[in-house]
Amino acid sequence: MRQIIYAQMVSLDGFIEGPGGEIDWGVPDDQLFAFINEQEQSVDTHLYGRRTYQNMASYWPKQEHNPKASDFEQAFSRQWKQMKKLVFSTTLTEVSWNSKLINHPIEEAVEQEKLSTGKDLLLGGAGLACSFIERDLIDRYHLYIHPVILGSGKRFFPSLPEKKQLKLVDHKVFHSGVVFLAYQRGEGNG
Amino acid sequence: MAKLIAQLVLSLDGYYGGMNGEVDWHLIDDDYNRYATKLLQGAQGLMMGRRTFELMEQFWPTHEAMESSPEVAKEMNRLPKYIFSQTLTETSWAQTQLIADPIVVSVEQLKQQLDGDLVILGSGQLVHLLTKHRLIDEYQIMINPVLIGAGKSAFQGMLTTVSLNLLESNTFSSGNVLLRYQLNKQ
Repeated sequence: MRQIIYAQMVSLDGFIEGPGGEIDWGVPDDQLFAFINEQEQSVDTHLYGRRTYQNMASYWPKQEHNPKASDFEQAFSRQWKQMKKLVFSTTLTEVSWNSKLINHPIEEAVEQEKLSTGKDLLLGGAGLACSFIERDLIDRYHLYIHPVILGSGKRFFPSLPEKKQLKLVDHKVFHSGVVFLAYQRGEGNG
Repeated sequence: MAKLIAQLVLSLDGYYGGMNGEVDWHLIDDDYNRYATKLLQGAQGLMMGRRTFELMEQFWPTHEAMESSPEVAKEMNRLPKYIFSQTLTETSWAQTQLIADPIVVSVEQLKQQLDGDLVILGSGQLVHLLTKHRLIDEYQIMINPVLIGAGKSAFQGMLTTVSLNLLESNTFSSGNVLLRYQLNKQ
């Protein structure tokens, strides 16, 4: 059964962006990038909210042909352009790069995807993740914990009305000090 | 010069306690106690804020503690304890020093005067203050596999980014994850 994975670079104190939108602390080195590209192999669809889609679409498409981009960035650029993307937005009117605009209820779109055959779906973006978590639609959480404390910014996890027990399913340590942790939704709850 | 180690149990969403300081969700099993015992056996002293101290003081000197967690209890009772509080004036827990003087200066002095490892247990507010002043040399964070949804953060509102170096990371069968970091003093 296809799984919905929410993955992000995250500070030790749980932020995906600093107070001024800073993400420089989370830029992957070659070793981490190689792992990220490997992870992409088990995914065939990306899920984005408007903001993340716009950020990605304004940067990644041209990296494939950017001589200053690393091999990993060029590879990711190629993969990203081809990857099937679902963009959840009620305000955008068009999207590019193999993207489909979804402006109907999230649950319907997700159910449709899960009923069809395919690989996993990867969600990026705290805003969209919040909507998904509220509806208990996330199956796996992938945290790339960077050795930094930011103090404030945009949280990976939204506030929740009650506790959620999770199951640790993977753990990797990288030379840069980044620790990758993967959690599956708990049995009987999300 | 002593090394100051902050040991914190955190939920995956980054809280050391619930909105009212609840810690009932902490996953404490034999593995955790083994880890805690080893940490305490290597320590020369403990530091705590008032709230954590009051919880510890009620439990560790009791028979119940000696029976349920004898090794941890032995260390908790043996170690010199430095407690920062403007309001506590007395305690019956042996080996305890209550310090009402300004915390940052007191901690700097203790680090100068003592040698070996000083371990801060829990004490989110104390950790917050000492992180701000870059006085903590090492962080040992035990991440529990649970989201508690809301609560208190030990690092809320740091004005500048705190840079760390990962020393080690281990997992336990409970799903707990230990992350050990050294403060990057650059």
